[in-house]
Order: sequence, then structure tokens, then C-alpha cells
Amino acid sequence: MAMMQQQGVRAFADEELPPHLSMATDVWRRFARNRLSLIGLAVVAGLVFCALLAGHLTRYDPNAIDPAIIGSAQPPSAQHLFGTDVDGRDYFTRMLFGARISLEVGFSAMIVAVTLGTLYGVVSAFYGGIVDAAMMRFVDMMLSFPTFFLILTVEALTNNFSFIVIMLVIGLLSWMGVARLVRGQVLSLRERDFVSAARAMGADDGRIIGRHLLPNALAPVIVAATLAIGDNILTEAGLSYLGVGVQIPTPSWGNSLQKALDPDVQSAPWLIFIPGALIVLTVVAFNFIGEGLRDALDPKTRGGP
Amino acid sequence: MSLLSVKDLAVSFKTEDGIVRAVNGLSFDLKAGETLGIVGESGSGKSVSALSIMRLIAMPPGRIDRGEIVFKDRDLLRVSEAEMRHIRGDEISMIFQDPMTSLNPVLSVGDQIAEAIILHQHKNKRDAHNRAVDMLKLVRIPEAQSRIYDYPHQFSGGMRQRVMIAMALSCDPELLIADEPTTALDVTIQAQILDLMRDLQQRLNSAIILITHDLGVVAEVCERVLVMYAGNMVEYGTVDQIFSAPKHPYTWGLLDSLPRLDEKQRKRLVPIDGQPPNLLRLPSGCAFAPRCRYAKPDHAVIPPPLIDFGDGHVARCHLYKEDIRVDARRLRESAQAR
Amino acid sequence: MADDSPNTHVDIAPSEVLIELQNVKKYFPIMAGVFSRHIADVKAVDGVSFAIKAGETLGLVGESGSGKTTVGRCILRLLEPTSGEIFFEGRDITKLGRQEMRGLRREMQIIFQDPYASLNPRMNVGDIVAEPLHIHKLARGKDVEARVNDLLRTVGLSPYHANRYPHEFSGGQRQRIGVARALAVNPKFIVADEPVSALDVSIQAQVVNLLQDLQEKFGLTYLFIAHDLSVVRHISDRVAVMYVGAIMELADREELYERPLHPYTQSLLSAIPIPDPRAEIRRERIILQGDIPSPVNPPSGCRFHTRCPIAFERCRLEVPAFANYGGHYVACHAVEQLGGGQPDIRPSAAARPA
Repeated sequence: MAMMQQQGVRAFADEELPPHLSMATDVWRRFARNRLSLIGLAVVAGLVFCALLAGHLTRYDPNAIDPAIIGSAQPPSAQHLFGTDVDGRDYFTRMLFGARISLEVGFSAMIVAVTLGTLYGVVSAFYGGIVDAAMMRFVDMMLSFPTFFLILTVEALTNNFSFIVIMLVIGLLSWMGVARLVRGQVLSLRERDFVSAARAMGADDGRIIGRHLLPNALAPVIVAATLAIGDNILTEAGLSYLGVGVQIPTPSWGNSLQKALDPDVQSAPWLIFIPGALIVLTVVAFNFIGEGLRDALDPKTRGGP
Repeated sequence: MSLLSVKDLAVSFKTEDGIVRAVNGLSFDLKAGETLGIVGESGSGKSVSALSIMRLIAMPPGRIDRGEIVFKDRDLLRVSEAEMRHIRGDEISMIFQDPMTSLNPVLSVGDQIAEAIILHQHKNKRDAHNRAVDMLKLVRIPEAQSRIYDYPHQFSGGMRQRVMIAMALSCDPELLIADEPTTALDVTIQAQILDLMRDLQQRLNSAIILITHDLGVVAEVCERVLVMYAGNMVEYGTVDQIFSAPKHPYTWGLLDSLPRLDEKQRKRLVPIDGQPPNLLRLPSGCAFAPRCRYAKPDHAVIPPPLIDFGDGHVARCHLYKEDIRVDARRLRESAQAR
Repeated sequence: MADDSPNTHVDIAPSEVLIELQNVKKYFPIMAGVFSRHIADVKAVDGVSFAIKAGETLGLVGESGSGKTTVGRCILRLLEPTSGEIFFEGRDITKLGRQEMRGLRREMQIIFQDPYASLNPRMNVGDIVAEPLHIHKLARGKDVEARVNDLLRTVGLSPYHANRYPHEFSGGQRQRIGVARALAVNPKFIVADEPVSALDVSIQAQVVNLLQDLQEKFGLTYLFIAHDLSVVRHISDRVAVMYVGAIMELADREELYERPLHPYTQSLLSAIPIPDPRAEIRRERIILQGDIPSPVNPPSGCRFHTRCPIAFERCRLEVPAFANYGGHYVACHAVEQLGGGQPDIRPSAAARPA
């Protein structure tokens, strides 16, 4: 009888495990299954491409005024894809350079906020007790101001509208959400058995935070970071629209909108429609990516039945 | 005549990784008043089978691929949803493993028990209330008169499971399905609930399907046993047949891998080799073959025949296809000796 | 327990003792209100004393709320005991500083109940098993890989599993990974905290056998914590029974299962269904009334008196001593009155004239 007999502890044949996928392949496979996230990713990739190569995609200078048409906005045409604004500048070119500003502010403010928020959240949760209570009350206080108006006020007070200042103000006033998120994650992870196991084997705090807590808290942070880019772009647009962000003549979607709402140029709807649509498109695209990442990064749903 | 007759039931779930075949052609009969234990490990399809009878499988991702569930001459898979709502809780009721999540935290237990009574038996509120008090007394909840106004969080785990049983029995169902009713409970509390169930079983005439992974619980409460593996029945018989003269190598494996409370001499346990079946990639033949000590290579390819050992004892196994008198005892002992 | 340091190892030579607990308590404060006022304590472990011999397996059984898991975590100092002393090889480890404790972590390890929560999902199996080697600098470079492969083979896995992630494994395989991690530092003592209760029956036996093989191979000492008395009987040399934070009975496994003295142990054993319908019919069952009391307000006197079928006045008032009857320890007034005899708590006994 051809029995399957083995003595002692039996080693498992490789085919008893599901086929091996690297973490990145697996995440990409799951991300790609969501069509909306793919569309979002394509839109963002397109925007990044345009922003990086803005100068090569147009033959106009964003600030160049065409004296021939100054004072009357030109509708879209073969010459001017998005028409021109009331000062006779090529609107397509301005939108390209506006994308550059939006993405720069969006990404860099996100990095400031996520770095600060993650550190703050980890420290607060890991040390707990009175440290945690004090740190979280500060977050509550910060959150009790409507963030946009806080940023607006600080921006108006500093009266400095350089890129660095805008980025820092947005970043430094929007980390609280990430801090709360990371704190919540770490608080629950801290009680998990694999963290106890690390303690039992003599791991120090640095190792526990760096190897066990942070990597497991990262997935929701990445999702939040993606969504934050969209939010930051919206904030920047809002500030610029209100005149306390990117200053004309530097092109930005927000200040273009403001200019377009000037009562003198009401007859040119594309001047409102195009930057408005770009803002909406970008923010929605980042949200779609965030949604897709949320599902793709969740280790609970990875693999297995 | 059978109260419930499940014929060739197959249920699958669509997941990201593929189709999970949870139940694959399950058939069994249950007579009125009979207590049937369905035993299996996780992934054996025992809970999915029970939920299919209640028609509580979420679709999608679930799908009933084929089969019939005939309950008192009606195929439950084909009756309207309205009719099914009428059957659920009235003619067939179910209790679950976790009594906390199956009770509504914002309603008093009395209201929850009365709700089913009003719905199915069209009684007025007063009668329903009285009936609810009687049911709590039946499940031996002390001071039932006053506790009926309490909320689920005011009860301990064991008491909540009693409330669940009271609720399930409030409309005198002909069939009660209990899915791991004592698994979440402590041993001394489990003993109380099992004792209660045995007592109720004699007093009321409900048929019971008890789903569990604990062979001890089955031995204590059930008359008949259905052993499931990878979504199918591997062996069926009376409690005595299954425990005294098991035929299927998986049943042997389950019994031999358990340490016994009454073991005098310390014997090495005989585990079942390998890992639980992968429901995404089941073999075309016997699903247990990859872990079976007696399997020949073709057993995993050819579906095993259903062998009748007489007196209602059946098993689905290749070992007996030429001769049902194959000496099962000798084979099993040779495995233990290793 | 009332008495201060019940000497639980008069019958064990001091040289044989690996671990000894003396009157260990662990209270978790309950805070409430705006100012986090301390309103009560969960008395999870309330004066526990026992000793574990080198090379033996001590089974620790109890129902939920008995404090058995907390005892295990206190020994490893994953929780700081509120009071009491814990000796490892004669040293009181509750007094050790951070650095000294780190060194001691090579001697004692833990295996957890839930094989899904005890492995870091973001680390592959090789890194998980190698981590203790890095922490204690036990191996470097190529040696790490060789040692990891060795450990994986020891627990019945294969070296090619090293670059896989925990979610790719079944529960039983994950538990083996956890065992390999615990073995990496060559410990003397392992707390096995319900190591098989989350596993399917057929897989439980694999892990139980593995633990027994490893004990033999490496001369390990186990504290085996479980609620399943059958598994505990199978694996333990001696067994301690806990109830609401205190040990009720402790004896050699044969003695405890064949001649349980404490009414709680008796009823616990009788409550377990045996997978043998013929044996089931013959057994007389003792069904305890009521629920397990909360460790916030443990009953006065003997903790078990609220459910004990033979409790009398003294049980309500006075905490019974954890007395030694020839190596069989039990905390019960009825046993004391019988001079170490077994009280009859069967329902049929009540009907008989006393």
C-alpha cells in the first residue's frame, strides 16, 4: 500500500502555501483591481507630467502679455487651447504652471504635516499616561479652530506669500489629523501580542517603535497622506483665491479663479470653468487613489480566505 | 418521514483569490425531534450549511450553486423571501456562538423575546410579555419577572446565551439550529447550558442541529452525528456508531488527536498530518486524501463512493469500495502504533 | 491567600526549583470620572505562590477571569506585579533593573495563544525568527541565516519558508513560527499561554507533540496555561487550578485528576464532556450554579463559596489556608476538616444522611 508515511515532524511541501507574491506586487495587484483608483492615478500622473515639463509643453511664457488682445479675454481656439485671460496671457500655459504650484504645495505641505503628525502621535501613544493626555489636549485645542480660517489668519498676519511660507503654514497647521490617526493605531498595536513578544525577547523602545509599531501603523498614514495632498491643493487654491496665497502674476489655479470672478470679465466663463474643473479633478483623483490604497494596503485582507 | 432533507447542497463564495467552495454536495435527513450533531473543523462548511438552511447566506459574495433544502415539503431555496421570513424564527430558529452580538443592545431582553412572539404568533403585547417571562423561567433565569426589563449588557455570557435560547424557543420551532452555542463559554457555564439543552430537548419536541467542533459536546447531547470535511459529509451515523466504530480515517484522526480527560497512561497524540484543506483548490476526488495515511494516489482524483455499513451508518471513503469488511480497527491501530 | 508565604515546595529540593512565586499580586486600577479617580481594582492575581521544577511542565488551568494569563505575564515581567516576589534560579527578578532584565530575557520566553496576533504582519518569517538573534547579538552575517534555517527545521517548517509573510500560513504553521522565535535564544523556561486553544483539533495534536519533543530535546521547563483540562492532563507533570485570582489546588497530574480534593476542581472535571457516549452515561455530573464572580469584588472568605455545593458558614468568613497534604496542596475548609480527605459534592450525596 502506497501510504504517505513520514516519521517525526513533517515538513510542508511548498505547494501547500499559496503562490508567493512580493509585498509590492501584491499591493499593486489589489490596487489595480479598483478601476477608479487607476483613473485617479492616471490623472495625477498626467498632472505631474505636465507640471514637470510645463515649459516644454507650451510655446508661451506664462506671464507674457499679448498686447494685441489685452483687455479682452479670448475664447479657446487653436492658437490658445484654453483661450487667454483678460491681460492677454495664454490660459493653457498659466494652468500648466498653476499645476506645478498646486502639486508642489500639496506634496511638500503633506510631507511636513505627516512627519510632524507621525512623530507626535507615536510619542504620545507610546509613552501614554500624562504625556499622552497633555499632548492630546493640545491637539484638541488646535482642532477646535477651523483649520482653514486658522491658516488664513496666520497667512494674513505673516504677510509673506512666498512658496515656503505657504507650504509651512499649511503643513504646520494640518498635522493634527495624522497625529490622532497614528496615536490610535499605536495604542491598539501596542497591546498586540507581537509587541509583547518583542518585549519578551528584550527589544528596546527604539526597535519596538521602528520595527513593530511604525510599519504596521503606516498603511492608514499613507492613505491619509494621499488624501491630504488633495486637501492641501484645495487649501492653497482657497488662500490664493482670497488673495493671501500665491500672488499674481505667479500663476496658480486659485488666483486665476479670483481673477476670473472679476466683474469686468464676466463674459468669459471658461476662465472660471477651467481652473475650477482642474481643482475638482485633482482633488477627486487624489481621493480615488487614497481609497484604492486603503484597500490595497490593509494586511488583514491580504491573502488567504 | 423527514422533517428536513438536504439534497446535494453546494454553496460557494466569490473572493478576491478565487471561488471558495464552502459546501460541495452535502446531503442529509433529519427526523422530527431528533438531535443531530454536525462536527467539523474550521472551513468544513458546517456553519455555512446551517446558514443556508436559514437562507441567511449573503449573496453576493455567496451563491447556492445547486441542491434542495426540503423542510416539511417546501424547498426552502425556492420559497419567496416573505414566506422565508415567516418560517425563520417561527418554524426554524437559530442560536449563534456569540450571544452578545446576536442581541440588540438597546432593547430590553423582554422586548426582544416578545418581538418574535408578536410577529409570528399574533399575540397582544400583554400575552407576549407573559410568554417572555415564562420562557426566561424555562431557561432557568432567576427572578425572571424583574430581569425581563434588563438590557443585554446586564447579563453575563452564560445568561445571555440562555436569553438567546429563550428567544429561539419562544415560538415552539420544529427545528432549532445551534451554531457553536457553548464555544465562547467557560467550562462550568457550558455544563449549565448543555444541561439546559438536554432538559429542553426532552420537554419540547424540537429537532436540533448542533454545530460544533467539540466531540465531547456531541457525545453528550446528540443522537446522530454528521462529520464534515472540506464542505462535504465524510461520515454519518448514531453517536454510538461514530464513537465506537468509526469508519472514516478523518473521524479516526479527530478521535485519536484529542487528549482524553480520562487518559490514565500518557500516550503520544496521533495528529492528522498536514494542514487544513485549501477551499480554493480542492482535489477532484477525496478532499481528505492529501492528509490520509491510507490514501492511494488515485483517491485524490476519483470521488469516493458512499458506503453503507447498515443501520444508517454511512461513510464516503475509498477504503471500502471492494469490501466493506476491511478491518478498520486494525488499520487504525497500526496508525496509532507508529 | 491569607497566609503570607505559604511554602509550596517543601517536597521539592531547593536545587530543583527553577521558578518560584511568593504571594504575587497583580491589581489593575479602575479609573473613572473627569479626574481619573482611582475607584477600584481588578484583582487579577491575588496572592499566588507556587514553584516550578527545572525540566517539568506545570499546567495552570482556570476559567476566564481566573488570572492565569496575568500570572504568566508577570513572570516574564511583561506586566509589573503589584507585590510579591518571583525568583528565577534564586534571584528575585521583580527587583531587576532594565538592563539586567534584558539579559534574563534570553532565559525565558513566551508562546502566545493567537497565532494571528503574535507575529508582526509586516515582517517575513526569516526576520521574525532572526530578531531575537539580532537583539542579543547571538549571530552575525551568514550565521544568522544558518541559525534561522536550523530553527525552522526544528519546528517542522522549511528554510524556504523564510521569505514568506505570516498571512501566507495556516494557524498551526504560524504557531510553529512563534515557537521557533521563542527557541531562538535557547531559553530554559517557556510560558506557553494557551498555545493550542485557537487551533483546530487535528492541528492541536501536532503542536502539543512538537512542544513535548522540544522539551525532551532541549530540556525545557514549561508553564502551560490553558482552560482545556484534557490537554493540560496530557502535557503536564503537575497541575495548578486557579479560580478568581487564587490557586485552589495544586498536585501531581495523576493525583489531581484521579483524586481531586477541592470542590471546584471536582466540578470542573465533571463539567468537561468526554468524547465517549458510553462513558458519558456513567458519569455523574456536578453542575455548578451561578456565574463566575468578578475579580473586582471577589467573594469574602473562600472565593468559591458562592457556587460551592457544600459551603458552610466558615467558608464565607475565613480564607482557607493553602495546605499541604503530602504534596497535594489545597485551599479548602472541608478538606481540612476531613484531614486531607475528598469531600463528596455529588448531588446524590446531598440526599444521603450526613
